[in-house]
Amino acid sequence: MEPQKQPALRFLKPEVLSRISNLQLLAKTVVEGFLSGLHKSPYKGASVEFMSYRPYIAGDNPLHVDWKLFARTDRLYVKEFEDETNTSVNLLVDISPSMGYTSGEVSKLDYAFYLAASLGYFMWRQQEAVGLTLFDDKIVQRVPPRKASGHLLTVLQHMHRAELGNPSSMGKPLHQLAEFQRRRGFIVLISDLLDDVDALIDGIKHFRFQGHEVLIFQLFDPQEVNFDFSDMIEFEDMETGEKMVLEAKSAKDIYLKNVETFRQSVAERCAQIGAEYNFISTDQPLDFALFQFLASRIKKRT
Amino acid sequence: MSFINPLFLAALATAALPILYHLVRRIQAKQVQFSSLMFFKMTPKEVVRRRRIQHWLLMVMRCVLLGLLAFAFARPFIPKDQIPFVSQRENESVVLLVDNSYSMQFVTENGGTLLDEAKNAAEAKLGEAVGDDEYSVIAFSDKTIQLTPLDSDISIHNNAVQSLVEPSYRTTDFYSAIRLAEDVLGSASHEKKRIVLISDIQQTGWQGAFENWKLDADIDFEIVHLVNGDERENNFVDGFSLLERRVEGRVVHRFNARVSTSEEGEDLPINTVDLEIEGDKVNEQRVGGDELQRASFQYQASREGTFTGNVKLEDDRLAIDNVRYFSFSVENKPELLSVGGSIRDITRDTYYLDRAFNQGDQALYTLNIAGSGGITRSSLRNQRVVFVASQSPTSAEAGVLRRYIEEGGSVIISFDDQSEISAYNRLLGQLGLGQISDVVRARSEQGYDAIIGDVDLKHPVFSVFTESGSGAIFRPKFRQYARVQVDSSATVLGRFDSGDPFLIENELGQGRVLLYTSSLNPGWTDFTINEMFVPFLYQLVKYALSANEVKKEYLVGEGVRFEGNPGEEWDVRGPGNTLYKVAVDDSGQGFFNETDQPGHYFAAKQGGEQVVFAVNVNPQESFLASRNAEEAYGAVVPPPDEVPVTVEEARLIEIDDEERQQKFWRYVILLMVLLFATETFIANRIKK
Repeated sequence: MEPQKQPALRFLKPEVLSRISNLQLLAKTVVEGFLSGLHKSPYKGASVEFMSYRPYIAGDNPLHVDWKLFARTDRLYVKEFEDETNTSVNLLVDISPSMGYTSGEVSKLDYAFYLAASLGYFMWRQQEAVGLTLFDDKIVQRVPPRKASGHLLTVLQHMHRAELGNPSSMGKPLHQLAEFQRRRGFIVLISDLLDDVDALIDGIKHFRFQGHEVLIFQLFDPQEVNFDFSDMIEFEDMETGEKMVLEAKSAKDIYLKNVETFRQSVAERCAQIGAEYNFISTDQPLDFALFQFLASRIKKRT
Repeated sequence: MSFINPLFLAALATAALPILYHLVRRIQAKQVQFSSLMFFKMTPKEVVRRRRIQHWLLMVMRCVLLGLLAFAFARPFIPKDQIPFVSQRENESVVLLVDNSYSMQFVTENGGTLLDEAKNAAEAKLGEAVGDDEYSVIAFSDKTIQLTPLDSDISIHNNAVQSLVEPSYRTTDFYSAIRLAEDVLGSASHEKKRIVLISDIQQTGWQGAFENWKLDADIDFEIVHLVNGDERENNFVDGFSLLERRVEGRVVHRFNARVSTSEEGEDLPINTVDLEIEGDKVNEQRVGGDELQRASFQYQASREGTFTGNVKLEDDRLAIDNVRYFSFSVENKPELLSVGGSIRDITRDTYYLDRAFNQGDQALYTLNIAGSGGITRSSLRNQRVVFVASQSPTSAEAGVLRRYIEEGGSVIISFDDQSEISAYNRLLGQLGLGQISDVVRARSEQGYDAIIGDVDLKHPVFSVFTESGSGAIFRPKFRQYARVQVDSSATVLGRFDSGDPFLIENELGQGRVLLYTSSLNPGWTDFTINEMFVPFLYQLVKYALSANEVKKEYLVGEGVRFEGNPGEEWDVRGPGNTLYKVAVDDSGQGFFNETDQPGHYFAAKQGGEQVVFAVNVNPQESFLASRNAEEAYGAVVPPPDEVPVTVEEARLIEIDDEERQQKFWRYVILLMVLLFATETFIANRIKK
């Protein structure tokens, strides 16, 4: 479902968010706005989902006994809740040089951090453990998932201090992280994925093999999506430094075609291994990404 | 093909701008950082190459567009003489005015003269003749000669320029020359007319009526200005004077020559001035620098007779004006005759005349005294001036005096108490002077003595008063004078303050009579005892003597008047022994106008005494400064709004007219518009 077609959503444009320097405030703004747009109380969230009752058996925690029901029925029943707190979310953010590209005010990396912060805040509100991993051709920074109350601030501070790193090579850091992250959880990969597709899929496969749910956000700048260049331009690859002089209009069709082919290839192969793939242009509101995330979580539960 | 603005052709280089822009654009492609080039690596390059070929087509069109623009701005045209099957330019009638004044003999740096250059310029102009163009050649100085009539046969004119245009010794007069050229063009066969002035356009030659006259507007005027760079220095004898003195019975001549240079504000270069008498150098003197500009020589002749001589400067680039010719005579003292009176009677004029002229060895004149009845033909022979002062002539004597005057003698008449009015009236009537109405006693008539009132101080007789300071002329007082009703043939040279004549003159035949209306003794005036009296008498005598003198100095071109009996002939031998004959007409005068060369001229009637006179160039021509050509052009042509200032501008306007008639630039612009439309169409299609 395309977010633009959701009339209920209140969109917060990335350019507007870029004026909020505090990531926590930004994340809060986004998430609270998003949730209120769903017309649901944020305090009735899914973090403490009631599942069912079962008869009390010895050894059960007396705290879980529904005493009101006991008063009415004179029988001991225990409430059963979904084990939310057992879920951890690991936010994987690509900090390779290509993520620094922007044609406007918000670079892909900025957008990635907005998104990661918003997701982190969202998870934190759900009382779930949130972790962060920044990587390029290796793991640059890793904050393991935790539920502690001040942990989110730590995650956000790491994002705030992060800088662009080396040219990306996703295979190696993904495999390493998969090894570290043995406990099943939610892997959110935020990247432009401008890398070897086979290595990427291999890395994701490793996560999937470990039992992780993988949600991929591929970020593209609008200019990368539309390629509205003209005249002779000498393009410099931000990853490799390689230069190429091109007549932009001449190259546009080919470029768009190649991008589309690439996206389809990634999407298909992600689908094949059960990873959720989302393509986002950085001029899209963050709500869309949050919606995708939520939809993905709901899908997982069902 | 020619262009009005050929400089714009340089803008053709702008046709390369699209190519240059393309190249620069390629070289200076905008640099953009992009996330990754991985999606370009599969770009087939041939796709791009094909598009570039389409751009090249547009580029060529744009190049041509810019080229055409530059071409149009250059305003192309085809000169008439290059258009095939079209007749040549309009035929024209041209008068070539070739300046042959003596300044044109200035030697240029090439070793030739300006006149040589003028001839070459004239031939060059004749070489421009096409079709039925007709030409006429006029040589001019202050004398204008049409050498050839208007004719289309160019060879005639070429011959005239080569053989008939000769150097002259005359000054320049542009006005006469241009007027003659205009007259010549009055009979021109062609509508298009032109006067070509080939000259050094000296400033001194423009003293004509140019302010009141302009050339016919239908006639084009062209100036070929001959210049010799900045080197126009010329030294010349600017002035000359000759003074004669008698010292202890000897005649001494003093020659003063003033030397000038044509460079204004510059000191005269050091120069040697030679004095030659009768062909021999007798003296020299150095002048120049910031000191002397005048050479003074003294010469005492060893014999009586006529002498020729000259003063001469060192040669420079214009040598003609470095010589000043002169002639002078050494002769016995002229004899004067006073009729009546006595040198011992202090009441009579003769006494005072004797005191004035009898100066012993230094006397310039010999004064003879004749008694009553002394006026006879024999007594007057050899007398140059006769004073009729204390004698009342009879009717016969009056006749003798008239004849004496007509034959070249001079008479000075004065009054005293013994003058009989009737006898004087008879004499004055005979001599055409007038009639005495009465003798005026000034005090009784006007209350005070008369003084000299109205005289022409430039007249030689009165020059003594100008030299003696202001007021001297008013000092003599005249108690009495004879009031004369002047004949129309006579001239009043001076008047008393009462308005009555003081001195009257009449010329009869070859002689002159002067009537002084008061007395030469103190009886009627105190003038006789005034310090001005003796100089006045000498000037009076000198003036009287000049009546039958042949002038001894002339300028080139100036006419010389000879006198004689009708039918007589004068033989004149000029420089180079050229012989001329001058006939005396019925009025007793003959005119010699062939003074074309500077030098000495010897003239004599058959059996008569030889007269020598010198002819010199006019130093006015020696000032070589040229007039600005544009200024000269403006002086001649009428000043309508679009009259070109210079010849070059005239030519440009002509070219402009040709271009306007053809208007090629319009077609070029039209072509540009079409090309531009095509380019726009193609560019849009490519874009789509």
